[in-house]
Amino acid sequence: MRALSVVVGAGGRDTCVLCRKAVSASYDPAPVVMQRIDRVLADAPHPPFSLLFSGADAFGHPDLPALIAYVVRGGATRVGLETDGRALTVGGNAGGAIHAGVRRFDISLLAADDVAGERLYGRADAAGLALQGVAECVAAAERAGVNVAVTAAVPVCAHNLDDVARTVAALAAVGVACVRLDARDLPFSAHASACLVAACDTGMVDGVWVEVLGSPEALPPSHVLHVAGEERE
Amino acid sequence: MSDVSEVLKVVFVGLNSPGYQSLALGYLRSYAQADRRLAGRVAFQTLDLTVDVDPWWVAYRVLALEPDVIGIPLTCWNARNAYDLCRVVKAARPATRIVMGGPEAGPVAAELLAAHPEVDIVVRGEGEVTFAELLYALTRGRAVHHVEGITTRDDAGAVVSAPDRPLIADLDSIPSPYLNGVMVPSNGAAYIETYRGCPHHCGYCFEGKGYPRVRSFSEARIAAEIDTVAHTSGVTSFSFIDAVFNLTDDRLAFLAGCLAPYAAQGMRLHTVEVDIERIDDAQAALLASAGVASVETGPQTVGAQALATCQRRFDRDRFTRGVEALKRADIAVECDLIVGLPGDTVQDFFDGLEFCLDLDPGIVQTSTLHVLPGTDLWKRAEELGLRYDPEPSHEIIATDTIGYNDLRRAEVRSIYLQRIYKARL
Repeated sequence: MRALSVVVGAGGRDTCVLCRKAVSASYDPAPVVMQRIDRVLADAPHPPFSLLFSGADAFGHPDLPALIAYVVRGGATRVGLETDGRALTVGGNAGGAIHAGVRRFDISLLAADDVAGERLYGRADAAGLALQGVAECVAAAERAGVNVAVTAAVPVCAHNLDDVARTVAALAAVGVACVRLDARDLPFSAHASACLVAACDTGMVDGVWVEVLGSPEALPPSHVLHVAGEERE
Repeated sequence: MSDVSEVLKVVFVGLNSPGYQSLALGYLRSYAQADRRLAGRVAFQTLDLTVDVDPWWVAYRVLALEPDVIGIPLTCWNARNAYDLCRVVKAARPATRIVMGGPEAGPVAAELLAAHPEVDIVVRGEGEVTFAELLYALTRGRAVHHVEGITTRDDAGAVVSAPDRPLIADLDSIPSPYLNGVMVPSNGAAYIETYRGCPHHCGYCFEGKGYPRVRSFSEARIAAEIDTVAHTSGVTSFSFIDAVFNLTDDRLAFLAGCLAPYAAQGMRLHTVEVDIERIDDAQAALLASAGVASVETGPQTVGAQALATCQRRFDRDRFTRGVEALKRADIAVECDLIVGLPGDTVQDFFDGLEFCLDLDPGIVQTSTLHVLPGTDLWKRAEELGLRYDPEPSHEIIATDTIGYNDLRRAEVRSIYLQRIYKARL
């Protein structure tokens, strides 16, 4: 049951401000997104579907409730969305999305805490809010008595590389099921490899799966299972 | 009367997984209670507890009953707690005879006694007749090491084993613990056994307990047990302990016929084990009419080498057709996979997981291999390159094809994939 991805917009995703300038989010109109959904579902074999709203932070889309309802009516039983995580702390977003039928939240995180995050996000509270968002999401799922999975993407660059193991530990502590370290832009070095290995091992100790997106050479043969493969939904 | 108190006080102690009742203890007690030679000479009590209770508190409850004999069925899951319990009981009340049986004890009886001085006697194989004969010997003050099926220590402290006891020819000779009131079925925790043995001989499994053939309880007995359990107040679901619920078409039809009237009133059966490759729409319809809400099945592995080593068959198309038939009948399927089977690589395990997830069966359950005493894998562990914990629960440590670290990685990754799979409407 591979997740079918439907883009709801572009930009707005967290990136290290020391590496590149953030791009503002823009969202596609709901009818356009619905047409994409129709096309994706037409190519899918049969219900039930797994569908992930991707591109920009889904909570920024003005018609997100209607889009969720649309895919649920279309036969999706596993609805997921990408978010910066901070949106989960706002106005009951976590509980509302779960109520609407979302069962997977894929958050992004650059740092383990606000001290480390201030430099990377260019704001003081981003990392802490994202982690708080995950915790609120997990708590909302427990209150609702439903199974929800939270996964996390960590863009890895030279500025957070040394702290990436601690970031994995922070995500594990709030109940994330899997951490994907996006190291595609990271130049290969022995130090980078050692940091990624430490992050993978931290995940093992804390019971959270860590996979590394990037060159297979980024990890030594002993850790080849952590190289990101085909993602399952 | 022997050197124990005038009436031999026997306490059965079950350390079950939460949500289960010990059918084994029910059988042991039912058979012994029906033995007229023991009438007036032996008193029975049962403590049907769960393995999550602190063994010292279990000991507190056991010792409060001042037992002369305690009987404990041992499994790989409860063995560590059971040994703790017995050590405390023996120290506090040395005269208490501690008797163990079950799959974790019988196949390693001599080794168990050598390693655990607190244990006095091991019952090997089927326990009902042997345990009753043991009690009879005790009440008569006779040496117990002559009782067939017993391993114990002689007067000099040497471990000695009496010959094996033949299997019980007529299972109906064991009184039903449900029909005689020894066990009161509790909702969701009651299990019925309709036969012993298993038609399959999977190398990792001790469910067939080495019995060479399948022996069945009579249809009349089975029907009466179903009737009793289903009529018990508050019971809306129960299950069957049989290794294969759909053993034959005729048998499935018989069971469905017995169960259908109760299913029509809302009674449900959960996680009965089935041979999925035999299931078609007709069998699925029978299961649905019997109130089966969920079934449990393999494939355990899809790796060709592990399948061959474990003497399992697996036909991808037949398996798929079975799952699809059950889904059409609105029956959830639990597909089980084992990581660490001999010959399997990590990729084999994840290929199996992918196969199961693609079927969208309802539940996908993975577990790590336990090399259980008495199984073929246990006997051939060295030859097959299986390194496992000699202490219960005998979890695999490494194989020739998967190292320790990758086994742990496979566990953590499969837990993540299962969480993703479960996160659905």
